Amino acid sequence: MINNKTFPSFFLLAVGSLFFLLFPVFSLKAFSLEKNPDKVENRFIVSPVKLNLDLRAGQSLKEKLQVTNRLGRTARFEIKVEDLVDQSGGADYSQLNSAKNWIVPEIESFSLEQGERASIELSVNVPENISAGGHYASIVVSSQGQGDDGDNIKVISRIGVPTLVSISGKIKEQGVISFFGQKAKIPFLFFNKLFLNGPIIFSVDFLNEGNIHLSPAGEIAVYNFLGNKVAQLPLPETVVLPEQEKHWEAVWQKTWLLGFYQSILTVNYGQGQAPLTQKESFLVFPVHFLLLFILSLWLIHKLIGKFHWKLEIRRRKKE
Amino acid sequence: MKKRKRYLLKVRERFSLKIYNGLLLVAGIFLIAVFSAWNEEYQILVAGTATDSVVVSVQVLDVISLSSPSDISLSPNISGTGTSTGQVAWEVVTSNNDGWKLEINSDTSPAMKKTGGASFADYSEDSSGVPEAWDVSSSDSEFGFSVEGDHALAKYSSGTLYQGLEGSTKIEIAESPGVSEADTTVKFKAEVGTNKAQESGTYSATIVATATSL
Repeated sequence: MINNKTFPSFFLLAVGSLFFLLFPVFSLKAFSLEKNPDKVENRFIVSPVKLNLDLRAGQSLKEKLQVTNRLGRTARFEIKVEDLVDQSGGADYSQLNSAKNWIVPEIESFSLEQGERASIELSVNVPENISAGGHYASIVVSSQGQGDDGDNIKVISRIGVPTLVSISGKIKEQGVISFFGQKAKIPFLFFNKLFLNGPIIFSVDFLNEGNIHLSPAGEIAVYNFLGNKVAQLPLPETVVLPEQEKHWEAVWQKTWLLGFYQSILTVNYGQGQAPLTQKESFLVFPVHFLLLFILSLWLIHKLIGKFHWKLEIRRRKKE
Repeated sequence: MKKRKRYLLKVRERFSLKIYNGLLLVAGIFLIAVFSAWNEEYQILVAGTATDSVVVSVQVLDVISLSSPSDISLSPNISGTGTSTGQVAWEVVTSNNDGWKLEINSDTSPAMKKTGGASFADYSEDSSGVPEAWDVSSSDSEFGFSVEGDHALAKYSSGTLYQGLEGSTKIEIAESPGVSEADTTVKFKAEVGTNKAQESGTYSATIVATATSL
C-alpha cells in the first residue's frame, strides 16, 4: 500500500524501472559503425555489389549492407528498396516477380562522417504463399550533392544493389539464342554473308524464357574451309533476368582473310541444361582488290593499244 | 747417519712421489681440459633453427562506388532568349567482374521547372529515345542532355547528340562490362527559342544518377 512512508521508495523504484526499460532504446545504435583513416576520394562505396539469395517460401534471413563515406565531408545517406526494372531490356519485375516488400533495412536514413563505414542489417522475409522461381528488387543507397538554392541542376547520386532471390520449387530454366550473326566493318553491298575483309564482328542475343535468372556463358569457334580452327572468341558470363534479352558482341580482329569460314556458337546456361549451339557460315573475299586488279589490266591494255605501231617487212620483187 | 740419510731419502722419495703424482694428476686434468676445449673449438655449432609460418591474409570486398558531385548552375543566364549549358561528371568504380551501368532520370516531368508551374519542355527527338543534333524551334523552350566518356553509350556520339529526360524513367547512359573506373560526363543544355516568351525566374531540375552492377 502506497502511503507517505512508502511513496519515496515506490517513486524511486518506478523511476529506476522506467530508466532500465528505456536505457536500451537510448543506448543501442540502429547499426554498427567503424571509423577508418580513409583518404578523401569524393565518393561513397557500397558492398556487396549484388545479393544472390536461395530461399524457400516462408523463410527469413538477415543480410548486411556496408556503406562507406569517402566524400571528404559528413553526408546523409538514405536507403530504399525499389523494384528492379531493366529499362534497356524492357523487362519489368514490379508485378509477379517483385521482392520489394520482402526486404526491410534496419535504418532508412543516417549520417556518416568522412572515413566512417556503416553496416546495416537487411531483413529478408519471404511470404508463405509465393511462386517458385526468381524474384527481384533493388536496394538503393543515395546521397545528395551539396549546393545552393539558386543552382539549376540539383544532383542526387545513387548506388543500386540488385537483389536476386531464387525461391525453390518448380523452376523453369529456359534460354534461347534469338539471334546469331556476323558483320564486318566493310560490308559488301547488301550481302550479309560476304565480306571484303576483317575484322569480323559476331553478334549474339540470348533470351531468358524461364522464370528464374540465368548465368549464360559461351564461345564462338571459327573454322576455315579446311576444317582448321582459326579463332576462338569467349562470351563472358553474364546475368540474364526472366524475359530479358542480353546482347553479346565478339570481334575477330584479323584483317586479311580469304575463303569460306564456319562459325559455331556454344552457350551454356542453367544446371543440367544442354548447351545451345548454332552455326553460321560466311565468305571473305577481297572483291575490291579483284576489281581493282581487273581495272588495272584493262587500263594497261588500252594504253598499249593506243601506242602500238605496225611493222611490215616486204621483200622487193626482182624485176 | 746412514739411517737418517736413508730415512730422509725415503721421505724425499715419498714426498717426491706424491708431488710427482700430484703433478701428474694436475697435468692430466689440464690436458683433459685443454683437449676438451680444443675439441669444442673445432666443433661446428649450428644455432638451433625452428621454423614457423603464419598466414597473412586480407579480404578485398566486392564493391561499387559512385562520386557525389555538387549541384551546378547553367551558364550564361538566358536574357529573354538563348542557350545555357552546364555539365556534371560522375565517376563509377567497381571491383565486380560483371561490370556496371549508369542511368539518369529526373524526379519530375518535365525535368526543368520553376515554382509556380512554368517549365522548359523535355527535349523532343525526331525519333523518340534516339539522340540527335540539338535543334529547338523558335517557338519552344527545351531542356536536354548528352553524354561523353570512355563508357558512354555510342548513341550520344561523344557528347554531340542530345535527348530529353523522361521523368522518373531511368535512361541508361553508360555501361562497362568488367572491373573498371571511369568518368561519365552529362552535358545539359537549355534553350529558349527566339519567338518564345519564357517566364522569368530560376528554373531547376533534380537529376538522379544511379550506378548498378550488371
